[in-house]
Amino acid sequence: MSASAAMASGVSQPAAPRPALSRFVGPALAAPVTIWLALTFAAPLAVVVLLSLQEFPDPFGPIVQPPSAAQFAAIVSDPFYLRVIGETLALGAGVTALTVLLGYPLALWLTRVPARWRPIAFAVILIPLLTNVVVRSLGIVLLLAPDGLINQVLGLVGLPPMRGMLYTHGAVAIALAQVFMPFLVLALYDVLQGTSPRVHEAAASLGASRVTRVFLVDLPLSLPGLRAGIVIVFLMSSTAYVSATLLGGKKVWTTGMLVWQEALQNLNAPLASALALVMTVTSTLFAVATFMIVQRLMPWRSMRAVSAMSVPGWLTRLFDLLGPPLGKLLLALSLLLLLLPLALVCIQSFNDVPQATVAGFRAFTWKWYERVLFGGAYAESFRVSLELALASALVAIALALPAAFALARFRFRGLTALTAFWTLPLSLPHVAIGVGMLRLLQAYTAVPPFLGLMSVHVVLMLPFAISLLQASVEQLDRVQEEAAASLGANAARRFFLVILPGLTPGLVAAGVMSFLLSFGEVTVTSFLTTARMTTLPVRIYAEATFSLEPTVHAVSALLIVATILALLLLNRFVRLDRLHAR
Amino acid sequence: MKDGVTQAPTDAVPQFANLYDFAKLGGYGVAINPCTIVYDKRKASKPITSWKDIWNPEWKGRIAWPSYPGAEGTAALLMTAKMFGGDEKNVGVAFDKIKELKPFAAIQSSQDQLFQMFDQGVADLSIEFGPFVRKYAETRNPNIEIANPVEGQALAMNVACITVGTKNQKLAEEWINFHLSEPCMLAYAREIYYSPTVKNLNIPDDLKQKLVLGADAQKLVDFDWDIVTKSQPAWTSRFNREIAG
Repeated sequence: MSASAAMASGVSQPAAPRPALSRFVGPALAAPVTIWLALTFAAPLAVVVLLSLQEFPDPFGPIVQPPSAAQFAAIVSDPFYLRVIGETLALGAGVTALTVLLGYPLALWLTRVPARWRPIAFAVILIPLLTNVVVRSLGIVLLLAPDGLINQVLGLVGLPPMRGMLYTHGAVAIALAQVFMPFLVLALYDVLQGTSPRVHEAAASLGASRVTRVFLVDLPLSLPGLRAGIVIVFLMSSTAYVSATLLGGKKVWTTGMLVWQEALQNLNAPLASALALVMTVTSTLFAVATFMIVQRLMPWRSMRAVSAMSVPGWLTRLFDLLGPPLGKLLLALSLLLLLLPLALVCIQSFNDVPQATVAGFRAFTWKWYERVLFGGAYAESFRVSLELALASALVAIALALPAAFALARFRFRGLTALTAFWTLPLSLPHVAIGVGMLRLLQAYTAVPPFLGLMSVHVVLMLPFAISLLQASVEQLDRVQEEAAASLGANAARRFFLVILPGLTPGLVAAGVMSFLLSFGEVTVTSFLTTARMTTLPVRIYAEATFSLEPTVHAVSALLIVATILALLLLNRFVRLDRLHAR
Repeated sequence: MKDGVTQAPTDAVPQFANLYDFAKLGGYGVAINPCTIVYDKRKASKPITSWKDIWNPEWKGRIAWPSYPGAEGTAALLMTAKMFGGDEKNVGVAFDKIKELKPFAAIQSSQDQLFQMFDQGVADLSIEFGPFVRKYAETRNPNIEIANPVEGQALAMNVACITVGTKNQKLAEEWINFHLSEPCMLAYAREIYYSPTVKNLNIPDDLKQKLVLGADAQKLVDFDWDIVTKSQPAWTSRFNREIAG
């Protein structure tokens, strides 16, 4: 009797949920993430807005004060600030252009790699993405230094060395392109691999060569992905400061560096906040402009008529001639740019030189590894990073899992708006979150620094964790749940015995990604660490701006190897090309 | 100290009596790490003996000026002010004089960067912590000289402070006294050329040449740190605009 009742309810529940229940379940599942983001993401940003309206810096005064436009007036009336903002936007545009040029061939290559090799190809993109930005910037230093790899290669072919490569806008642009290119490649890959092969067949049957198809088929159809990639690369590169500090040698100024300096060195939170807001607004305007321009390039998306385009024959022949070698060259360059800095860091970790940035191989040594593994160098900050990454990953998954169910299985009013809110941390400058959170933690000293750091790390992980888990939940076979229910399993048993095992790959993927993201985070973290609690990458960054021993390369090489191992492990659970936010 | 965070130094630490006067301010000075001019002696027509020698035309375009804020940048800025009739309250003259030195070979924002610039011949002169540069010169680049200007080097010091309300008062005092003892001071001097803050030491002859002692220590130039701290935002913005840009 009871079995049949359970069966009746079990069968009816997933198929046609009772309206009274489902109306609350969806919002209830969405609530934890929303509350967390409201407290640890929206609140700091609100604080930034309030701070920017303060007339004088008053670190211990109330956050809410009579509003004043003094900070904005100071920025607008100061040619120096305007110049830095202008240069930063130009730098962002340059980096974006470089990224598109190098990233597009890479994305095309990814779609064409045989399925068997695709996980390895993806590892090529993911390993740099998950290695922290300080290490990657140091790799670029080793590449461009006066006695660095490029000059050594020039020397081999008998060319004079180029001494002025480091500490220029060009060096910063190359470093930023290295750091952000994976985002563009992943966005492009999504749309490129979605293009039906029939479109290509149709074009080929009409006589379009492979190169012509890249420009006339792939490129237009990939515009949405290109747009997404451009917007995210531009937003990130125009608000970055770590690479600019390490590779700009104080000759290159970015808005993010000004924010960092005002907030942490001059303790002028109002000016830092106002600068962060100006930065956010200008970058967003630029992103919106990009969005609209690309929209105009895709008339078919809004059902407008498209006039036929004719390409002169000599042009296609020129493309056919130049395209393949040029494409291969760009692909080689982009692969080198992604991997070479990491390889140089690994090589440097065995180099017997007195300081980390002295390039050129002198002699082989194990001593840096000895210091790291047996001398206890960096052990304390490694422990902090480890604890932080583990705690943050657990919290992020605990929050993201209900959200993923809400997205995958429920429809309710406001869901679209909530989803947009959940992905906002991806596109708003992390520096701004850092400034706001710093002020909040100063006001509420009862909050332990660890909790402050964790809350921000969770914010940065959530967009990735939610989208990974959502895909995972959508792939669940609901028939199995119905079967379990019909056999008398209650909701808890169904969850632990049916749903959870089915979600294991997604959970592992989200966990590893979250862990790696947290472990490598520098931009926000460096606002929030204290003298007694510093994470590994922030400690490396702090030392890199003072004096750095090659031990740092040994640590970094170990981290890179650990990342590769983590990805290998992950590949057993999920295909690596499923591993990123959409 | 003023904000009630740290204690004033007292003779509960036996070595307190032997501290230089400047090492009794705001805590117990435990190591002198002064900032001075460092340069490639192969490029100098004669050894540098004064801060004003920086304005010698032979260094034009070869200087890596230290970035501000930072101890080296502060020393460079204020020593310039003092050389040309200014002081902490009047640094305008310093900014004008530093501008005369442009173009700089580089702006150095860390000793790592500076050492790299010396190694690669990017720059020949800068203002840095003398002890660290001496270590660098002795281990890696014998061409680099650490100047001892007649006007004195700029005082920079590591200071140990005991916090107000500590539970380990006795332990803290003993630790500081140990820090100020001869074996500890000499160990620092041998390893990294920190100069001692106490006067009652027997310094071996081979170290004497490399440290700031006696008359040289009395000549060290200190600044009014209340003004320096308060002025940092204004000076930073001037530095960013007029010097680094």
